[in-house]
Amino acid sequence: MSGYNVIGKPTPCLGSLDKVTGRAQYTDDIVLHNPLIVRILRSTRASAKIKEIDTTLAERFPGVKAAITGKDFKNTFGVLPISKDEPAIAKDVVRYIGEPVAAVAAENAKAAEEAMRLIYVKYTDIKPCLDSRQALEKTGSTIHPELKRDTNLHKSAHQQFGDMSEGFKNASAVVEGSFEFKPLNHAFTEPHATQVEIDGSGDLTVYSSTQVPHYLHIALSEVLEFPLHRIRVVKPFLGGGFGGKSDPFGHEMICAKLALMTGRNTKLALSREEVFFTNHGRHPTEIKMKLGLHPECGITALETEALIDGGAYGSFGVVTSYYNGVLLQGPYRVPNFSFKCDRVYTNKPMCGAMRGHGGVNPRFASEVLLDMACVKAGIDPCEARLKFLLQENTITANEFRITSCGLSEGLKTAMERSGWREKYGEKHGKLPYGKGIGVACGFFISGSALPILWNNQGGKDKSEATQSTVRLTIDFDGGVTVYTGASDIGQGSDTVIAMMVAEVLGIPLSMIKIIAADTRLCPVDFGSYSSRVTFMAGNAARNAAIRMRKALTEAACKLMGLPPPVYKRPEEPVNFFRQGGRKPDFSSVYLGPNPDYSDGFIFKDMKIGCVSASGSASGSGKSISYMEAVSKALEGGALQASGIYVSPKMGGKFKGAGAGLSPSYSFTAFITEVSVDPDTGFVKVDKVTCAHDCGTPINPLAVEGQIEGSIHMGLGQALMESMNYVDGAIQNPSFLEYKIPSPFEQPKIDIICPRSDESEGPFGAKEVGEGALAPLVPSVANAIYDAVGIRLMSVPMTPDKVLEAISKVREGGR
Amino acid sequence: MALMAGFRYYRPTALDEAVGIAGKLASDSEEFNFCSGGTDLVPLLKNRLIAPSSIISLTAIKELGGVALRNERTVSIGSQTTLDELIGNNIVRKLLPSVSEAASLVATRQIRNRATAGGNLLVNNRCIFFNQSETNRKAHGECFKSGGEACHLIPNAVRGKAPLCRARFVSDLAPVLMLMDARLSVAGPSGYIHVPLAEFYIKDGIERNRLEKGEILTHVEVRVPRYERIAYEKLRIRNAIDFPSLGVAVSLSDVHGIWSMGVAVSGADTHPVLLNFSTNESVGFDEMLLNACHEVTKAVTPLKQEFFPPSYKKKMIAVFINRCVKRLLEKQ
Repeated sequence: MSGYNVIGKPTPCLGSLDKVTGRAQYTDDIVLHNPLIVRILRSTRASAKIKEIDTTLAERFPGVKAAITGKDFKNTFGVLPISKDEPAIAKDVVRYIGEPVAAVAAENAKAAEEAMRLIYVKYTDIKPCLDSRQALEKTGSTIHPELKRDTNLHKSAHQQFGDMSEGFKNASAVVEGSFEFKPLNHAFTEPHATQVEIDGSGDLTVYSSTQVPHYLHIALSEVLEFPLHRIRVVKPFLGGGFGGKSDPFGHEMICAKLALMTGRNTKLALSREEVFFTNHGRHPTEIKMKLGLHPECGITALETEALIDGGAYGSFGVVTSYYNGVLLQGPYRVPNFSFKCDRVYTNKPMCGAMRGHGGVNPRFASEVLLDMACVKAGIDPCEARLKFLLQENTITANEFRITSCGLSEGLKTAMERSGWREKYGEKHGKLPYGKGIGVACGFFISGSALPILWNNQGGKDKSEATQSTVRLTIDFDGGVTVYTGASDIGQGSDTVIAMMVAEVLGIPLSMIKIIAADTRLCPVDFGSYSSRVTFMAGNAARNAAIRMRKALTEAACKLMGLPPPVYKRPEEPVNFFRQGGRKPDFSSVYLGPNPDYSDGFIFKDMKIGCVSASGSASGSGKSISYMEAVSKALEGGALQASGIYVSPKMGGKFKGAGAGLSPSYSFTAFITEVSVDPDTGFVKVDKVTCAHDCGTPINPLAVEGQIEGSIHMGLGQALMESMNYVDGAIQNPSFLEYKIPSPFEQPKIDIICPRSDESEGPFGAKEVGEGALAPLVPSVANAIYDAVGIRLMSVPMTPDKVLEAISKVREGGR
Repeated sequence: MALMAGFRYYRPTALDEAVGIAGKLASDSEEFNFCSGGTDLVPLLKNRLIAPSSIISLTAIKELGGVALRNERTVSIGSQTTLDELIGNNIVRKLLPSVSEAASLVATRQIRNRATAGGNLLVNNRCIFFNQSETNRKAHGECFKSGGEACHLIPNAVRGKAPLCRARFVSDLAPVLMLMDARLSVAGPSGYIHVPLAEFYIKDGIERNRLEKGEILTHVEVRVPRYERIAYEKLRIRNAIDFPSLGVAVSLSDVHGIWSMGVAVSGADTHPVLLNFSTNESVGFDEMLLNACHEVTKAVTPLKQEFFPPSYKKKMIAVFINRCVKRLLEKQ
């Protein structure tokens, strides 16, 4: 890590000053010329036929320019090509309370809202299915009759590896449990907003708060039946996503449609309540899990059965179904492994991807069970975990390749810094009653190796689709503009990409300017989801910068009268696990992951110096100014370069092998200390020690921010968050009643980034956006057990549940 | 939350003027609301739970602001005093520290900067089925409080049977002030009247209190206790933002070996519940305390309306009473 000029230095995110001074233009802040204001009328029924819908009065209302209903859209959409089941506006039937049934565009918000009240909708109620168990029953009718199924099952994912009965037979401790998790919303700060600008030729520019401009681009084109090249999607500043903005949305189609119909610009910002209706949050989940442990061999078998309630539409659900199983394949060896996860449709707002996607709830179950098994086997839960961790350069039962893993060092450091040995002692319960310490570990993908849209590029195999492309140009003054499709949603991806480019070219960060997430200006990047940006867009940016560096080095050589450096052709990686760390292959479109670009030149302090130019020792010591090299290189016209990232080929051949497959994985350990008030059941998380292996931290300040955010979000799930439905209507669609922790609940945090170097990650980096959430939740549960001797299997662990469990234990005479 | 409907906005600078405007509007049969900080009123307006044609702001009436000490004996708190002022005011901090403490537990700093003492005492009752948007209310159908003919908490509730509405009372200041025998000064068309706070509230989520339309709460008056011994404990999942899921205030005094104890409870029922207890020859302190816990728990009827289940709230009443007592005895 040493020797870098920019990488590894804590750097305030680009645009921070704009954000804190209010200068930053979020989607809703953009001022388009005289836009029509759009409002959406939403269903007040969980399940009903739309018998009649009449917008005549609304259309006649002064100031109203157009009103649309489901009939105005032919095509449905969905983020996954396999479940495009969502209409922009409900047609014929409504499937949840809050679903759009009509929309109006008017000269001002007041007219739009008044007109909405004039839309006549006559519903005929259909018996709703509101419960995931009920969804599996054959009742004669289903929420999606077009699927021609006899129940509301959407997806059943299952896999098995090894021999389960043999595995459980070899265990010395077998534990099992039934777990329950509530639906959660992402609770990002900025509600969804969309503005559409239509120009003289009728082409559209769609400004939207989206994590996935590229997918939105395609979905708009399909739903509106309007050519891609006539749509431009731009993501302005964005106030948080966490997966809640990673689907294309109905309201985006609605605004675009109304712009096309009226020829006017359109504008819509959702209210917080509408954000809760739109949801796409964490699935309410039931998990039955059984874990076998041998004190020497580790987890001998792990069996999972999950039922997840997807709500009315598909969204990311198929992926979520697999993730509920496959994300249990680490961070420990699990040779005998099986899971089954059913996702069902119900008449509620749909669920989708949320930070830690699909992996958070099963992680809770498995870490609590592991803790129980350790207690049963009489072994220290930290030592046990250390012993059972996946090692570097291994492969899991479901053929995930584990390249780097810094968790062992991370957990050891966390044990030292938290005082684990003294506090936990020989067995649980050493601390005074009410005080507890607990541990949990986890892992997460650094981007999905399989892109959602495997648009067969140039006849290539689908797994070789280009996941990210980054383009650079250099201006006359040497400043670099980076064009990336990556979507900075507040996590700081723009900054990380700029830092990587600055590092390779040896120029200050201030000379790098980013143009991002604009489908007309930027090359394709699949967007911000599955923790892919630092790894994938980072690799593409680094590769683009290496190409640019080559052009500048060649220009410098010309000026210094040196022969251009010779790049050896890279060898095939000898080791399956060592695809990175190679020389760049300039003859290929793709330079390879994390190529070693040492070329005998040093780019520093606006100078390009030759230390021992490969093949030309005579050049040693010579140097030339960066600007001269730029001027020389610009003689050939525009100076630009691009780089791409493609995941290496990997994974098994079985069904669902692509789920959870990633070029690398992050690893996390939490040691959490709590105080439990035995009179009230209140749990206070006092201190959290987190070791997160994200490889090389590119921007340590952002890494800390991501981990602190994950902890805060995890605390919400652990202690208080839940979307409460009564008869399909959400009862707490506001930040007053949907309880996200306040700053007063944030514990002391100690963050450890263990030394770890990911051979395929850009500068050795891996993900940090999501992995640090999941294990926090069970670490709280395990600490509660240490404090008061109760095992909670229902999340959130609210005071009433804690108190009830405590009184049960007391009644039990323990 | 939608846009507010339009309304006429009055901002009188004198109390007489405000009473006059209200009287005129009333005689014209116009709907109107008084408005102080607006932190309670504006969400009701946006959700169209109220739709007055006029709003009379009281914030410019100087005589309704601030805290004064009269004759060294009475603290007079103007209804327009913000909660933030209440927290920082030297008279309140010194003579009525529990009022200052209860005020500091309301909502957030931003809200306390606007919300007023009067507003907190008159805060509208809340229910998870009432405090919703138009869309979400239509999902269940309007309830009694929002103008419908149903209660979603008590499915067989009918008009004429009290309490009709079970929306819960959520003031943090009321329980503390009730234990101080606070008196409200109310200005109306026929001049000033004074109402003991303990008799002010009504067991109904719609009627709520005895303030008549057109009357203005002007001051809260509290006799300075020789030595204030009141503690307040608030149940909420977060240490900020939330209304009290339960607010328990306890006062304690002993005169010549006879202990008196008052308990006032907010947040869990339609109205603040106030009960008094004392020791005598046959009832000792511990028995009084036990009795208080029992009686107060029995007197409060929480329903499933928000974060905490009713049974849990019930359990917490005794816990909080004991906590308050412990704090008061430690302070001694």
